[in-house]
Amino acid sequence: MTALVAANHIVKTFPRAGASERQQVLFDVSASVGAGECLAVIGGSGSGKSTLTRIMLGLENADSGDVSYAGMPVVAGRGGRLPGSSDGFRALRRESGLVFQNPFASLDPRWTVLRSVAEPLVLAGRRLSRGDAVEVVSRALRTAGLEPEDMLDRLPSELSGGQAQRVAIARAIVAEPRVILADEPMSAIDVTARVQILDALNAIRAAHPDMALIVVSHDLGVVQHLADRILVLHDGHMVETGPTETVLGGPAEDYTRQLVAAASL
Amino acid sequence: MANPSKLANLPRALWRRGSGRYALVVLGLWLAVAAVSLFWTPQPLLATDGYHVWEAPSAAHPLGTDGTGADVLSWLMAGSRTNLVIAALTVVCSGALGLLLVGCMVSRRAGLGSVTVAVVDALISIPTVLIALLLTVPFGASVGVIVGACSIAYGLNLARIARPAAMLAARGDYVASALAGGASGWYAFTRHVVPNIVPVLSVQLTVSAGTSVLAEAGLTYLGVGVGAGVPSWGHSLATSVKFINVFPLTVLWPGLVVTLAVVALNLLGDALNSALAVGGMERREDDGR
Amino acid sequence: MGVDIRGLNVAIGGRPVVRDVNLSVGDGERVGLIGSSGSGKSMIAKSLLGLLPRGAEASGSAALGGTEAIGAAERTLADLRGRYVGVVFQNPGATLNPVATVMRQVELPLRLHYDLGRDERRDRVMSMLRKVGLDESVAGKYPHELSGGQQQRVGIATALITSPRLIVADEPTTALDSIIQRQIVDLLVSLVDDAGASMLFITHDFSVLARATTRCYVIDDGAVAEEGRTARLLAAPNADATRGLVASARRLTLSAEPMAAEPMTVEQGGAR
Repeated sequence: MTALVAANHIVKTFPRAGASERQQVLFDVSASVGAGECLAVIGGSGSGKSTLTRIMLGLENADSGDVSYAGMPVVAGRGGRLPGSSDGFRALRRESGLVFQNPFASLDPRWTVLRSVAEPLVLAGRRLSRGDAVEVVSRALRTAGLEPEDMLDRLPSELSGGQAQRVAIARAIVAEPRVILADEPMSAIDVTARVQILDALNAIRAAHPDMALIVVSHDLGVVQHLADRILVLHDGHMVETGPTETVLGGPAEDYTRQLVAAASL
Repeated sequence: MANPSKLANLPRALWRRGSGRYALVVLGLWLAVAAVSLFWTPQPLLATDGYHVWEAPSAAHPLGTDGTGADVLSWLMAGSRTNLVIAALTVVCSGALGLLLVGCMVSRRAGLGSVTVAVVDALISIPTVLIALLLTVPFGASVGVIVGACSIAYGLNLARIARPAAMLAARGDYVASALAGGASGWYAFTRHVVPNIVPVLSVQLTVSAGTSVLAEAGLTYLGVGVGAGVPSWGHSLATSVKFINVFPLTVLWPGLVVTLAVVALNLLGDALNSALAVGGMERREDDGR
Repeated sequence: MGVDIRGLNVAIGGRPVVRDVNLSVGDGERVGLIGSSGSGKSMIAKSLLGLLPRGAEASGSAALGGTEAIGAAERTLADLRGRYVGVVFQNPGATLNPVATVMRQVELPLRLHYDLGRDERRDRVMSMLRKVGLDESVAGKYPHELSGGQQQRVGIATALITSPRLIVADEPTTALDSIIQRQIVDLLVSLVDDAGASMLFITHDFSVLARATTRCYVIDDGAVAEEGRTARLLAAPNADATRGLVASARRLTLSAEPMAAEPMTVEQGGAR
């Protein structure tokens, strides 16, 4: 499978508060995801998993290493702004969707579900009549496992955590992106809602068979039914990577074994 | 795809709250009196009567006369126009300045934010009176000076008070998501940040309108407010306050009008704040207050 | 110290959030309260500690080792809380004072409830820090200098410093990553068992509950849906609420043997 998004030899440092030397968060990490594939990036807090995936989506620049999208190099302009950015970066911005950890922080508290979910369509410059927008948004909500009729006019404060996160998923897929990044989409909500998110993510994969999905999580258990491939990060180093069954069935590294143990009942 | 029902509901939501009802009534009266004074006042403004100065209320002069024998009620009615213009212009100008500064503060352009914060913090220490005095030097005492001084002072204040709410909204994942989808900084500011600071803005702006009434009175008393012969509440106060020990009643009327107006504007701010909060339109009462 | 709750009802603004709950925790027993968010499980613990939000009305009885908490005076409750009951909260980053060192956080309950000299307080804090697996050098640090797992260890040390007879743990691992979660649960269990104390453990996750408790109550919509040994509920859940929670936990965990695909009973609309 040729990679849709590929990151090679990524090195990233952050300035450390009150110290002159910078803190390194990624040490020569490579990762890729193909069309229709789901990659899970697993690691504890501070492992660099969020940073890696943000770099893959062009949301941050790496210190060294390169990222490509559909064969085009991804280079963000200065400060991540559009002018000066490469074609690959612009294409990735147009054709990617994001799901964040805290569903309530990712929805504008003053916008209805309809307006929030429709925002990517507006940003993509699609001129839709209200009726068409309602239809497209309803389809996305249904794919994410929500009933649009009683959802469209609600505000985020009128949603449960699981519902809000599925609204965020609907927004991520509404403009039919080719790649979606879900950063800890199940961490901030309860177990029952997590299962709903898992089902929603599987449903959007089934509905969009060519879409690539990158899921970030600290928990191997939640991605076992979702990911095709797993990449384990620990303190900025790549510990292990391989197909899901291989990593779960016979973890080669001690850290992965700890993750497997922690995810067992 | 805006939510048109929301703004249309605002007057009703304000009316349901006791403070909002009072504010709407007083402000309505203010507007009506200002409008009426354009065409009619009980006595012509320039009519003076040397034989009847400092008169107690009578049928001809419902609120009495001042030291030149002019009708107090007529001058207060005409003054309401001036104060209305000052309050409205102050709201518009300080709002525009405040939003501009907030926009700079939450800008993602490195440096601009911190420079603006530092500049605002430095300028905010200058009192309104001093700004007015400085403006009088080139421009002379006028309505424009009052509006200018109030707009600068309240605009800076507004920026500082709205900044935390604006930063919170600007750091929200929904802004990150919009930016990642190709939205411009301007889009994120106008669609996401500004709507989320509307409660804070509306409170500050109504309070600014109220304070502009007080500032007009104070500055006019100091001689850097409206020019001589221009009717305003501050003018009415300034001409009568010198004789407060002899004719206290003439001070009472402009004082009462100023108080009513300022209290109404402050209460309007409270009512707006609770009505504009998420879910505030549906809430029936003034949460327990 | 045991807990005995009889016929507890709590309403907030006229809306019932706890309905006729009967619950007991024996001496030295570890008992779980499990339910999805909004089920009212936290409210039960809060009524026990006298920490209900303003406007909440509680009726019935909630006794802590013979002392009635419902309607008790604030003084009685405050004394009870620090001295005999230790509380571990969900988000250690938010419950630790950002401008106080670890030393000051952990010794605060000792200052409030005991009249000890400076040196003795220091000794107790140091030995407590070692017990929760922290280095003594942590004592001089501020919360932001610690990782999430270390912060929660400080939270546990603060809860346990007065050797309370009951620990109330309110979702203590939800904010942590999976390996740290397991370490924190195991640490709590061993500390509670060593001290012979009781524990009331609140969570939404059966996989955590299975390690932390021996018996548990399933809370659904403010009422007890099912009660029993944790292992029994996990193996043979009876009530719908229990089945949903167990099914969710099983789908989100790995198992040694290939799991028989259990029919999902979680409703699609989602609990509000």
